[in-house]
Amino acid sequence: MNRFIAVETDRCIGCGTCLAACSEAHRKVGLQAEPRLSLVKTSGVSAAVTCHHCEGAPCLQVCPVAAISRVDGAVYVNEQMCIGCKLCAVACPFGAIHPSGTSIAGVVGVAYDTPTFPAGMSSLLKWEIGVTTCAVKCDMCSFDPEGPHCVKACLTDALRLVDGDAAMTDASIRRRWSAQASELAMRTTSRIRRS
Amino acid sequence: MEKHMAVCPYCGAGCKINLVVENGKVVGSEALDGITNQGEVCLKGLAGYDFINDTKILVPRIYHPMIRREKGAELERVTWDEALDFTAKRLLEIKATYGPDSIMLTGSSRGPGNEANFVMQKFTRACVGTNNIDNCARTCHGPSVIGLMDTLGSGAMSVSIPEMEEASCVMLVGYNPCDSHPIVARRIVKAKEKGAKVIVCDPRAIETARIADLYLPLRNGSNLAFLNAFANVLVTEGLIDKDFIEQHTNGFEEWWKTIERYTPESVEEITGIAPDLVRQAARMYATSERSILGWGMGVTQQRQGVKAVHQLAAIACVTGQIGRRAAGVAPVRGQNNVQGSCDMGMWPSLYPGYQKVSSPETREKFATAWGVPVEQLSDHEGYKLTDLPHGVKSGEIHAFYNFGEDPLQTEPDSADMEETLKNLDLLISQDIFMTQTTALADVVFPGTSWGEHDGVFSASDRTFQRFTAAVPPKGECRHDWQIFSDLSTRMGYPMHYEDTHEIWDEVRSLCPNFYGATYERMEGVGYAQWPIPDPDKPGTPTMYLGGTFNTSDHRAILMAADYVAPTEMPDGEYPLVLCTVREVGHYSCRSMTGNCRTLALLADEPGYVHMSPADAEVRGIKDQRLVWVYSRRGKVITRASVDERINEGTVYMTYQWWIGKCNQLTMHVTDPLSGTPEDKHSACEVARIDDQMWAEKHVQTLYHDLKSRLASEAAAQDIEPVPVA
Repeated sequence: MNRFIAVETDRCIGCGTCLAACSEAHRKVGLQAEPRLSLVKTSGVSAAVTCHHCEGAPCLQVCPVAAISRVDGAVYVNEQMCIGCKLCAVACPFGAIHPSGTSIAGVVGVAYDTPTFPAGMSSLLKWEIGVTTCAVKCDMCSFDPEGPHCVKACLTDALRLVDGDAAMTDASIRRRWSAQASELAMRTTSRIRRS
Repeated sequence: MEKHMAVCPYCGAGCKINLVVENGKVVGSEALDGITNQGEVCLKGLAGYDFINDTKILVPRIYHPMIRREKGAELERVTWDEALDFTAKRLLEIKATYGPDSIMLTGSSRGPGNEANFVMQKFTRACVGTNNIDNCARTCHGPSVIGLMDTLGSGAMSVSIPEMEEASCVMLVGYNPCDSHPIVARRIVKAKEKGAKVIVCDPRAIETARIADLYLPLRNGSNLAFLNAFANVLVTEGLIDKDFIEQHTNGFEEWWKTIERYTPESVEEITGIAPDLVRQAARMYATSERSILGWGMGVTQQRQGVKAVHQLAAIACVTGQIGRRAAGVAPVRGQNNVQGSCDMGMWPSLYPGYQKVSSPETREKFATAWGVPVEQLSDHEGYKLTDLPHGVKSGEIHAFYNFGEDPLQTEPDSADMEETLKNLDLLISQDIFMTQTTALADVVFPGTSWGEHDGVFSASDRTFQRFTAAVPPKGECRHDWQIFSDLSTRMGYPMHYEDTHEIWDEVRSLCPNFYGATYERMEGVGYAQWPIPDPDKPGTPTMYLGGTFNTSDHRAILMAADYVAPTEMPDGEYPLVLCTVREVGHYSCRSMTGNCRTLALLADEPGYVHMSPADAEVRGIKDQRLVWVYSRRGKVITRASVDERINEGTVYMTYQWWIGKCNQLTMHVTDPLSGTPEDKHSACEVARIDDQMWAEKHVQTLYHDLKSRLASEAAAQDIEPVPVA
């Protein structure tokens, strides 16, 4: 059985509270502060996108150092073991891996970044001097028995934890998510039409 | 671990939270079950506590008083006694030479709270002897305050935030709740799920446009033409409530004389909205059981802000969509306590509780309460905040006391504002951070931060709520009301308060509409919604019940005006419209949110210019690339966000970025009726930068230089004053 976080796009208001909750929670337990969800806004859809903890997780399969494992139905990265090769990010079909590291800017004195690449560059290609990148991804807040912080933080209950019970008992909701996921993936529809 | 009850210091939604304290440091925040937030908070409420701990991500906090002994001298840390004596002497000199009206003050609509503001305006009126006191509502909902007082008699939301989800139709004009007030957006999503219709009128396809039943993408700067056409349909299609008009309003005939000419067809070229869509929207709004009409800066920061508010009020009145539960007007206030600043009389024509300075009885009442001769209280309206640049240039204003605001960041045309502040004889800045404005000050007073003091905030829907200190004051920081009292005492008008409770009781005793809002009632997650004249009776969630307005004859006044185009239209040289907007993760001048680790991680300099894919393509601009934006006022570097939700021909920037500072581009032209700048409409051009690596480094260099300059100004506080022998 796998578990994942699903988004109801009609409820998402694009406020980013889930990203902030994710960042705060992980930073406080000594993990990377980079949010493990991204906010996607197209003309018709707003949605927080994150890991699906796939059954056949390609990220897990391609990791050359076995830093990725499955723990209690969730796909989990050991940030200390990760070597930053980004193969998992290349393999992920959802763009749910966020290569990131702790910048050394500010370690001695004022935080002063020295960019060596444009900010718009793909995170797969970014490499900053002195920064060890690791694969940052959703771990379902496995350090907290109360579950994912993003789900708890969402103001409009747009985010929902899909685990065994909910998924088994509520097939109609699953179909609804599936339809919305397709919409998000294909981006073919726009409910907003300019006159 | 301890928990201390507070109210979020960011938007006007008034979310109740607990601050979590460990070892004397605020380490987190948790939502409480407050009346407006129901146990939810947005990202700022969740991660916005960090700045209290002086993270120095953006700017350092100020812990000690400092002065410049003469213009242009270095800042020097001094004792409180010396700082207060120096300031009192300088203010008294300026008052003696140029008169009390040469001194201008601004209140703080942010962390300090109502009590601090009340004491400041008391100092302004009773000690300095002027009504030159204003607050940042001038640059935001000033037109709503003025426009609604003109028409309905009170300048606030007539409904409350919880009622938003009970409405059967929510119509939003120039208001983006998902970025401005996520907690209000949550109510709109809930209303929609309960079956409410949603109408969104905005040039950008904002978040709520996605869930709207009708989306009207009106052209930038066309509000009044659109509203007049909307009103025209209400009458021509028989959608008006004749009984309500007859019994509760004045001026219908006169109003119609103007509105009659505005058929949807006649303004289609201006608004860009198909006539049929205007008709559908008017029908949906008017025929719904309970409609709420909400608006924001998209209405107010325009050339005709006040007149558009007049028309919004008229639309609610002629359809009878006001004065019932979940039917009314909702100008949702931006900053956490901007409603409170207005409540406390940080307004050049109003005493606390909206009592007019022009009224002899009011002056008599306050003079008696404050123990001053009535002649000492000025009988004429003071200067507005936006009068400052002109007032300094013309030699009428010589001193400016800035309380917790950063006009150099938040007011239009920064270059002009900088010159204004530099040309003052005396600039006093009372703040918690070394902001860009504070760095120019001759006197720097360190106040305590939100989280370090008690008080009452007014949420946007007139809800008073208490907040408490979580940690003790740092360094030599003093409570704002103590600083004003000490300064006033030195200037010959002694003031002393033991705590905020004592101040609040004075506020209540002077403002009949606030009298029932006792500290006891507001214990814990308690609240009090004004008007609340009686401590034993509940407050007023919905105003004007049964159509009883707060005008002299209790009837609403219908007002109409002709549409006038914006001041600066795009042309060949500057072909794009620049509109300033808000983004959700940061707040005001960013001195608070920019010093919070999570919020700074999610969005940092130089911010963005949002533009349509078509406008980006013709300029060769790609998403996330750095670009130049320039106008007749200046030129800034920022990052492009090529965004499908943006209308062609207009670009959008947020005003909190210090490098990508849109206020270097905006112009100082104001609505003559309110003095509110026309921030929503000026002309600009965007150009691509070919050498992106140079541009990235350039941004970092500018950012570093600015942060270093402010840190070095603040460093003066680390040198202890030499004791006088």
